[in-house]
Amino acid sequence: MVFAYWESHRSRTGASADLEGTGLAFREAGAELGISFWHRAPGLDPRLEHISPQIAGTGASVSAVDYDGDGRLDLYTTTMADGQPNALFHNLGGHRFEEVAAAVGLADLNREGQGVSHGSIWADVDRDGDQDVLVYKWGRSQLLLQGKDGRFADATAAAGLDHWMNCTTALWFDFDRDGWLDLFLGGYYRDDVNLWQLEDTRVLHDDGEFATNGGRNFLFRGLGAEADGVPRFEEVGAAMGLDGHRWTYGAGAADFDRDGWPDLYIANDYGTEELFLNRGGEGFELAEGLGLDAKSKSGMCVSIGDVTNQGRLAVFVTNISETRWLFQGNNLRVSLLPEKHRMLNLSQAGHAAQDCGWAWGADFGDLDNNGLQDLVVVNGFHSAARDRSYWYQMDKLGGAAGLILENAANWPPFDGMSLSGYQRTRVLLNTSRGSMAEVGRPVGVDDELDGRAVILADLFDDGTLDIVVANQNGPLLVYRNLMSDAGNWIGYELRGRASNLDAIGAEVTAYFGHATQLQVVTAGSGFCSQTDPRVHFGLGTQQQPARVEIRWPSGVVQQLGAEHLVPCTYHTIEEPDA
Amino acid sequence: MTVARPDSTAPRPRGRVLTWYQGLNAKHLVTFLNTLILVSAEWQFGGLGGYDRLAVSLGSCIATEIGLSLLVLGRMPRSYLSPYISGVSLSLLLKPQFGLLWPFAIGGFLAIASKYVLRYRGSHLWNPTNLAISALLLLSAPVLTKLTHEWGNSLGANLVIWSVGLIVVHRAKLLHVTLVYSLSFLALAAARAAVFPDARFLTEAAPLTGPMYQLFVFFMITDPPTVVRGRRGQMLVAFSIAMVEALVRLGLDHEIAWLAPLAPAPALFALAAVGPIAKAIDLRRRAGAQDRVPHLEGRGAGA
Repeated sequence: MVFAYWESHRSRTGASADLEGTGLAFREAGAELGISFWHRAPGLDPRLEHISPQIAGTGASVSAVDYDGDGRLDLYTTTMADGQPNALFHNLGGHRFEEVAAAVGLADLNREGQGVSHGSIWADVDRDGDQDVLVYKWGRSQLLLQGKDGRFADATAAAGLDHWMNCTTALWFDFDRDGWLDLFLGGYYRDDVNLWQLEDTRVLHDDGEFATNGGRNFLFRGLGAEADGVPRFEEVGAAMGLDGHRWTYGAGAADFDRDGWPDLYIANDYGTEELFLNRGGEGFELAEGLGLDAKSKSGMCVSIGDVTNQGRLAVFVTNISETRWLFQGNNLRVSLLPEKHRMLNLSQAGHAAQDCGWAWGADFGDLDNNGLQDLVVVNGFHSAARDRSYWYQMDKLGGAAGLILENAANWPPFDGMSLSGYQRTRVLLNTSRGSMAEVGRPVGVDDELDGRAVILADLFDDGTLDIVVANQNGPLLVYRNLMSDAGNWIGYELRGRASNLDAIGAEVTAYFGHATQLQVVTAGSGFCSQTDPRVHFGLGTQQQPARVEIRWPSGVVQQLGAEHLVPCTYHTIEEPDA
Repeated sequence: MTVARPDSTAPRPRGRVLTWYQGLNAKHLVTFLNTLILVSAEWQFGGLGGYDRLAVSLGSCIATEIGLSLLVLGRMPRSYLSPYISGVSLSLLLKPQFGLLWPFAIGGFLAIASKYVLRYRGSHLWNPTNLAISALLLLSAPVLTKLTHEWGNSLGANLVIWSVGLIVVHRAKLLHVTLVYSLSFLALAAARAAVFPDARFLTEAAPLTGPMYQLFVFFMITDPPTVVRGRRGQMLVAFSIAMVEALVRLGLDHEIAWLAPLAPAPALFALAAVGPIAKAIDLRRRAGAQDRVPHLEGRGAGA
């Protein structure tokens, strides 16, 4: 039909025009950079083998961190196969990386009986001046503290974090603003499910829209370090109102209601999105009346940015769209909480961000430094036989009674079929305050692998954001930004003092031209990823920002002086005294 | 003071309920069930996906009904129940890309227009909603699909709808249609499961427990104007629909490529194919029988 054709193709028409003049181009450069890594799925209980692509459909992750404090951004990535090592790519400078995970004790984390890695979140958890890491797992997640020798030692049990759960998302934040980081862990499969040794096959969701038979979410409050230097945690999820049993896939923390306390935004598979408002660090309250519960979908990731240049936070939550079968559409919501108590969804019909296929991770960043935050979305569930689709088989159970649906034994075997496979990574250029045009192919981001995690990070400190994609059962891809003229930009690396040392939760607002752009420092966002810990602003036609303001997690508000408004460099800013 | 005397003519409570039940208008009951599903789906599950969808599909159906009634019949419609039911069903069954409203407008137009245009011997052949959804699914696949799990997968909600639905089709004297289709579906699901070594009966039978099938067995295949006359004929048609659907599903399980466009809704397409053929045959037979009646009478009289 004419309407259908027009709706499905109209976003393409403006892409080339929107790209003209930007000089934006990428090239996949993993091999030449020395980055070679392949994610592999785990072997599971034989009773799950027939649907292993469904059960073990996630787990490829990537995090950006300067783990050794040498000023260069490194990459940590995980795999899920039993006995296979995770990888830490140390940035040597000069466009070279070296794999060092084994040397620092971060490789051998997928041991039989202990579960397999799903992602990592980094921060200076023990406040000793270096980066530590929590590798979250289907199994026993591990807290690894970095010692003075640069090696990481397991402190999970001592910290009070030893627990079996099927964790798919995690983030560090400081919800009580005491300077000690707190930990949110999102559960997917039930905690009592060991995917390698099942008690029975009723392990799946019992509802496509409102499932509450997933893994429990946990909130660990950081209590501070003991004499042994190990930080202690206590689990306060139930007491704080964050112990849901939905199938949590993504989470992001930021102050949506502008009351000074970091809130928690959660994306649930087979469920609605949830915004938990932080009530003064003493509890979380589910925000009602925002329209988040109007439509239940398959929330995958939570990415936080500012696409309107109005100083308003935007949240991007990915979902599933597949021709003939399902049109959930992604949500790009702009927070109007402080004044109107609502979230405005920009992702309406025809918006380029709405239909990205079976979408997973996403990250915001100004790829062309034109002063507007763009968006990269990775897609695709399972790529096997190109001409054989599992959708019809899966649809048999789509509306079925929960008792049938939850039993893996009732699911038809994949038998080499694809499920929304071979989907392109989408590069969405922000053309005007949230309007977007898809330019992936023209700029050279054209892989069709099963992307899960994606981050935009300036790996070479040249002021342009590169794209790193972790693929399920596939390679880690590094798309180097080849823009010849980076234009005007400015970046900040924040160091907390009274606040947590990584300034997680700090807000940086840059005023340039007519724009007011707000960015938040996060440690865990998107899907199984942690993005560049620095904030990066493209300035478009402006030479430099007129003003930059930082609101630190402690509550201190700082106006940067002229020396910190000089463009085309990263400024290191230390938290001032109150 | 007067003393109330028992009224010996008043029916006993059980009889009253029965009388009330027997007095219910089947069309009104169908409308009630339709509305009940709509309200509960939206209230409990947000299954509608927005009241604008309902407004557009209802508006389109009613406007088309009025327009074509005036144009074709030269008068206003005598009843709005049919466009109401079509409008509600369309808004529940169609699941387009978020924010798209034109499928509901086009669907409403197609559904109602089919009653006026696609006619044979004075009767329309297709269930209006079925025709509209089938056409839209085939022609607008890039942006449109049908209801699957949007009402959740609660067994309790299923049982409620099935219970009320069974009462309604019983009152409409079409329970046998629903039962024959459902039992045939289950039997053929068992047969299909037996064909493939990895298939399970529960998997193949599972679609019947979903919301789309609830609407299908209570509204579409039992739509009075489009079912054939006679109990046996109706049962045969219900079985035929289940059989065609089973064949399509069998073909899809064997990954026959040209059947792929039918994969999202084999039941809807089976009805769209079988229903009109059966109805046309029925109309033709009835017309033939009517033609023969005076002739036979005359011959008999003369004998």
